[in-house]
Amino acid sequence: MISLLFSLFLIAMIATMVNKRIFSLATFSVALILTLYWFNYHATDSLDILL
Amino acid sequence: MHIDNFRLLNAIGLILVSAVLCNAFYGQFVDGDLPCPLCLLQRVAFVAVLYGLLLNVVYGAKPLHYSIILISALLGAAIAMRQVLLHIIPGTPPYGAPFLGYHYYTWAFLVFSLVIFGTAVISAFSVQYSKGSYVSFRHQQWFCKLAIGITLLMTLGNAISALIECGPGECPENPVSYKLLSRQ
Repeated sequence: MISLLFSLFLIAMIATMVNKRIFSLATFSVALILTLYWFNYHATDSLDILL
Repeated sequence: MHIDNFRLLNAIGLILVSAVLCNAFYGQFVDGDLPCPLCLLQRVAFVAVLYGLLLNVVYGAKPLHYSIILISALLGAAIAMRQVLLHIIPGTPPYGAPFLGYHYYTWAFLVFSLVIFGTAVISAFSVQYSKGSYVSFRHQQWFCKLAIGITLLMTLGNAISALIECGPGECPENPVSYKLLSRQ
């Protein structure tokens, strides 16, 4: 899954290099949303802190 | 400051952030510290910062590009802070070996904070927004070509490394071996 995120960012970068700006920004947006989802997936364990 | 100097400034940013990822590779391959899922997500955020810098180098500086850098760095800082919080609990061991006294996730938080500060300062110079158009790789200055090449290489390297470590699915919370290389 995380290799997919890196791959999406790589595709966005390559699209930038060949002047496909809209496609590049769309790919970046998808990658960013997936990163947020995956962060939420890995970071929803409760912290074991007693205050 | 001339407009082309802002392209160079962003190219320097590409080199610096790539150096951070290179250092993470050093810890992974030389010291043998396999990155955990949150560590990998911090690398993803660094790559997202690289993307914003790359846009500035290729298309010229634009407010949207700086917004992309800021959003990516804020996400990265949030991920790094989450991992710092996981390891400051008494009795909870840190993850990985320290580098110059701090662990990688602490360094990541500091670097993301620096990226946010640097972007806030550089984006304030309005002269860079007056014009700017697409410059193909062939017509870039040699330093920008070098920075772009290193950026693409580091992103590809991270994609391959994450695939070998985790496979196509979920990464283990505490990885001890490369999933695609183990014979189980």
